[in-house]
Amino acid sequence: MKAVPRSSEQWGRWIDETAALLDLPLDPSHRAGVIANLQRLAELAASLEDPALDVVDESAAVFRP
Amino acid sequence: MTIAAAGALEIGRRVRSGEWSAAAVTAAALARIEAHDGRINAFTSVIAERAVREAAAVDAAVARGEDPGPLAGVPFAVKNLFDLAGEVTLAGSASRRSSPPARRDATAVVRLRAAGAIPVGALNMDAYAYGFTTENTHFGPTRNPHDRARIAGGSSGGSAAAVAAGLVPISLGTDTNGSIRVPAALCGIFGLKPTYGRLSRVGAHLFVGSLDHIGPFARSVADLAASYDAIQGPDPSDVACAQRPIEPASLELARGAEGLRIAVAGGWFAGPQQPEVRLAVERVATALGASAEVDVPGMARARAAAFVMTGIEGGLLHLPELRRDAAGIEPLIVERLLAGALAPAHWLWQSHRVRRQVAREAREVFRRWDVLLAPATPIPAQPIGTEWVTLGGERMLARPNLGLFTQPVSFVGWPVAVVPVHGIGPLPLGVQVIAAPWREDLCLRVAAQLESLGVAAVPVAGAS
Repeated sequence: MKAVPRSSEQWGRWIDETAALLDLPLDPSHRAGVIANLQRLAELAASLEDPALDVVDESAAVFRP
Repeated sequence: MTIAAAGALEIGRRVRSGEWSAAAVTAAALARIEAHDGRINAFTSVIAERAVREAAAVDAAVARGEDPGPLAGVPFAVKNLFDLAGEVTLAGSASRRSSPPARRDATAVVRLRAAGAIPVGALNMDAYAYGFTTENTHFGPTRNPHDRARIAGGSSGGSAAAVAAGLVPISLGTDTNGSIRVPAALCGIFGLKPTYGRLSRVGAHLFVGSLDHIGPFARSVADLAASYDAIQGPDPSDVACAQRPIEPASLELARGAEGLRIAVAGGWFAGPQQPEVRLAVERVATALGASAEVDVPGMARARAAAFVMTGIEGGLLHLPELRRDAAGIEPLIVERLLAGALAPAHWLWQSHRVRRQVAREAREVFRRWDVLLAPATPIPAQPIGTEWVTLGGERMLARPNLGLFTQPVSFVGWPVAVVPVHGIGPLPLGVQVIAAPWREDLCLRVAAQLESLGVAAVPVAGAS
């Protein structure tokens, strides 16, 4: 699945809404930097979408009761 | 041989024989730290009283005819994310100054002490180990002993600088994406990042548990191997620590590189780098007779996934503190932590899946080769405060790209020894000696061969 690039405005809305839902105060002086960092992570994450992964690559952690 | 010039095993031999006392060795180390650390800012705390007390115990054991261990009386220091009983574990963060002191030593500290070594203090680092430069806003930058206007590398910068400057013969650091290998290279000393899961991290303040390793620094390969051997062993308290027996590497060093199939890692590792970095790899390869170049598949994906995993796991780990007091967090990392804490969970999940895929495909390279050589950093130590560098005509951020060649290798968990190469330019450089999982012995054998040939060496840098 190809990831759709999002604009900085879209990431700004994401940040505002998720930060509020997580009770995470966000100083306005950090907002632009957080958007830039999230966009960078998004680009890198998008590069990991293809090619499709095999079932043997599932990452479920081993639980040892 | 003076105490100041002696390596760890030499100190241990002389203390065990009664030729030197642990008290005298400890006093000499404390005096060197007092005299020289102000110029490089490697230490954030010195535990002199405890060190003197433990040195007296080592001397008493020798007097009773007991063997305190191969590292008897050897002073060592730890990155300040390792617990030292009775001390506050800072993990590079000023906001942790008011935390309660550690109740016990980290497992690695316990094991070094069991081998006779004596902890003398804690060392500076990037806040929460998130960085490659040890430019710590709250505790000041650690300065490179070879040029004090430049960075020591990070995040274990204090650990590397203290050893390079001759303040202690060995130290401990951690490596998530390159934080042992980058400062070892920039400070011109030996460093070992073992296989992921080889060494216990109990009592080490984690940053990204999925990627965190611990490991030693030293000025000789024998000291590096002895330190590594001392801290090996399973630990059920660390879920990532493999239940493997101790596999001593020190006994293997004399075999050198004989019989090993060694190649230079190309592809990703031939990417942007200064010409002298390439020359350092060529010098090492020529000395080992390694002429083949091999492409390791998946390294670009490995770096991307490591970057994503680091940002998100790091952000989530520090979410409580981000909620409580973001203003108290290191300014160089707070926005990266916030972004990671707010990132979609799918990105992290996919990164872990990609890790499985890349590790499975990339390790095929070891069917044909035993050891790979690669640059440790694309550039030598930069002036403190450097934001940008230009490599191959491309302008890029200096700080994150110090990990360009280390990050993919730790992502797949392979063991790496960094060997220092001096004399190509005015500053030292490092070469990664990489082997298949659980073959630290091969990394150290090749490092020992390079040391015996004089290709890798560690002159004590003048901190004075």
